[in-house]
Amino acid sequence: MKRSSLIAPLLLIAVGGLFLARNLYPELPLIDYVARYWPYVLILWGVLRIGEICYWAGASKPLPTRGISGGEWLLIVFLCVIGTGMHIANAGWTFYAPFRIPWENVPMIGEQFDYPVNAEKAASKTPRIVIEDFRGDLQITGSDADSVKVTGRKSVRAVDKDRADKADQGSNIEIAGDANQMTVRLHEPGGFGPRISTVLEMTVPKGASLETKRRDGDLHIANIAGAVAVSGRAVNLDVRDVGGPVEIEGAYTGDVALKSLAKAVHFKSQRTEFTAVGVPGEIHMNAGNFSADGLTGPTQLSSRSRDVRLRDFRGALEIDLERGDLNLEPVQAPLSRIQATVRSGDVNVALPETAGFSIKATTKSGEITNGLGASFKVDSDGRRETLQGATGSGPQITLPVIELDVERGSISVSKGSGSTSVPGSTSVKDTAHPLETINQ
Amino acid sequence: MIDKVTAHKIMVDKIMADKVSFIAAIRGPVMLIALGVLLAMDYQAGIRFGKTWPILLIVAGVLHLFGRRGAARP
Repeated sequence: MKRSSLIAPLLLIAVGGLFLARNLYPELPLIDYVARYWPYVLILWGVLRIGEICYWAGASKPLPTRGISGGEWLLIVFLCVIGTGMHIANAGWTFYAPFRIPWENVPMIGEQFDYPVNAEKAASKTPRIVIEDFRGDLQITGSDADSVKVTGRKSVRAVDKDRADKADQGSNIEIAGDANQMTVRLHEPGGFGPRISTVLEMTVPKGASLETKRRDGDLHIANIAGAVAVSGRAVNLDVRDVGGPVEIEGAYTGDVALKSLAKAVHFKSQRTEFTAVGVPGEIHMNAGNFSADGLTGPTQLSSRSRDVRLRDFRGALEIDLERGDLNLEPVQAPLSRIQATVRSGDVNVALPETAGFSIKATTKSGEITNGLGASFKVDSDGRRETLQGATGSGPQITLPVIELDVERGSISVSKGSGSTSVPGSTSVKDTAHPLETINQ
Repeated sequence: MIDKVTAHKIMVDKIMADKVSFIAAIRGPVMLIALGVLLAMDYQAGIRFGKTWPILLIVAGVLHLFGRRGAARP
């Protein structure tokens, strides 16, 4: 009797189901799900096949000499290549960043038709505004006016103008709620309707608090006195001049810029998590870098793969970096506790000339460059090197502790941060103006 | 007529052959599951596939060993 396998039809059903779901519910981040969870398809495939083999063995059917045929392995390799590619594109890895797939630019069938958007509603001085997710770019600016105003354009991609007109009539920007609690949303025709995206500018009362979820495009928020919460996906994100706490969670494939944030900031993406009590200066992040100049701590940063540069930070600092170089340049004394763990990468620390501190720096595989002077000692134990010591002769318990723990990489510690560069340390000169080089 | 000893031997041989072919048959799916688990661990738990891939070699070796042991037994 012929053996028949369930896997091929199940795969077909799954692929069909995915495409159908994408058509019916365009707001579902299916690409995200596939990029993140595709390895489970391999596990399910293997488990199903073992189940089938057990069934065939029990039913005394001839067992296949190979549990997975050559053709199936080919399909698996194909799946692995596509899955890994999507995962890399999704996570925006440094190494592959130049080849990131620009999903937002994938040409679609049909052509684009533009329609103007205008909506306005009176609001209180301090409304809470929720902006629901819809495609496209959004700029939100606080102003002195007591109203929420939305202007811009709506782009409909359709095969002809009739269909685009219908989609335009069926979709409109709505500002719902009362003067204190508002929701801005785009009504979209469901089902198989044309794809709609927007480029919008929104002015809100300066005292507003915002909550917005994005699906794609750029998001700019400026001049808001209340709290700001951002979630979802975007290409570029720019948040500046915010008086309230800022909470950002999501995936950003382009640049992230945070500037002049008076209260607590919490940023969380797939690879990086960051908290600070305030950002009087600015932070720039892209696929491979995290640069900050002017932070109020305690600050915590953990990242999987990024080169990190922190300059002019106050308060305690705790860093956990899996892969990437770390440059620290606290400009002002007195220092606070600094604790950095780096699994793979070089660490450069440039401390203020007048600062008092005690230090313990260890690398399990690498070299330590001591630019601190003779009162600090480097011990070498085979591959492992340790730098220890403290400034001055006072009781060390009162001095702020600097702890650097590197698994694979070199450490360089020097004094005299700022524009003066120290021999043996290449980091200081580069970090003087790290932010100007990053494109906005 | 086959005597009892020969019949028993044929039966044992058949069981062992079945066992060997069963292990050979599940070798591919077990490798596939291992690959899926390592990739999922990379994505979800941050345990890099670059570090864990030798487990695939170990799993392949163990499966091979089991197949051989089953075949070598009388």
